[in-house]
Amino acid sequence: MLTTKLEAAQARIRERWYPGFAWVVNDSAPWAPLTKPLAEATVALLSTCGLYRADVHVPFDAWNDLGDPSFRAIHDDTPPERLRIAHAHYEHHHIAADHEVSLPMIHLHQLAQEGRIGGCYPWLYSFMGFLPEPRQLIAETAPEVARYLRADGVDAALLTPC
Amino acid sequence: MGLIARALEEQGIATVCVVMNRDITENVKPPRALFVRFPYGAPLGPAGDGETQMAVVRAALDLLVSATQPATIVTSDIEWPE
Repeated sequence: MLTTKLEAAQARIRERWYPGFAWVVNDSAPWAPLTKPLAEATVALLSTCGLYRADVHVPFDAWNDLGDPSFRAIHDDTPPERLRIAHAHYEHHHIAADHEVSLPMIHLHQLAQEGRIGGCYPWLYSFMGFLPEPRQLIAETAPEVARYLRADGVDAALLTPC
Repeated sequence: MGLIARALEEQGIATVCVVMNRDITENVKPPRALFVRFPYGAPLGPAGDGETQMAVVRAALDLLVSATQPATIVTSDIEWPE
């Protein structure tokens, strides 16, 4: 059920970017229980903040009115200075100064050292969260990432916005 | 982001999302969501404030363990530091 505020935002997005835009409305949520204690679980980190590696990746198509449903895999040994942001729809002031505000790799490693989680999955999957046309994400790119994580034995995932 | 969480969950991976817009989350329905009332661009806390960021990460992981039903949304009580 869309609130008045979401209805207004929907109208604005249709007018400015994509006439076919509609908020996704689901009736229920899927559910995968955590099957082992968190202290034994391998945890993956995913973010929609639009980070990519300047020396390896093509940037996200940040100015596309339909958004960009692709993803970039960033290994957690990547030097922070090689990361860039391609996302035209939020203020970069905080994340440019400190990637941990949206991609808490260092914090997650600390929690693994403390024993709060079993371990960190070494690949961070980065998406660009502005996506007025999400069909390709739903049908293709998100399931693709899910298959990679499953194949590598990931138990749980923390997803962060921007 | 909730859409990505749903795809992971379909593959058997338990997820928790940190979210910034409760209305959108109520419609997309990711399995578990921690709602933070922080400004866009700083979902876990201000740049350089590792303590606040870590508190949000810990709260999200706690929810991964404590949530018992799909589409759970918990409002974070962690304050944006003055």
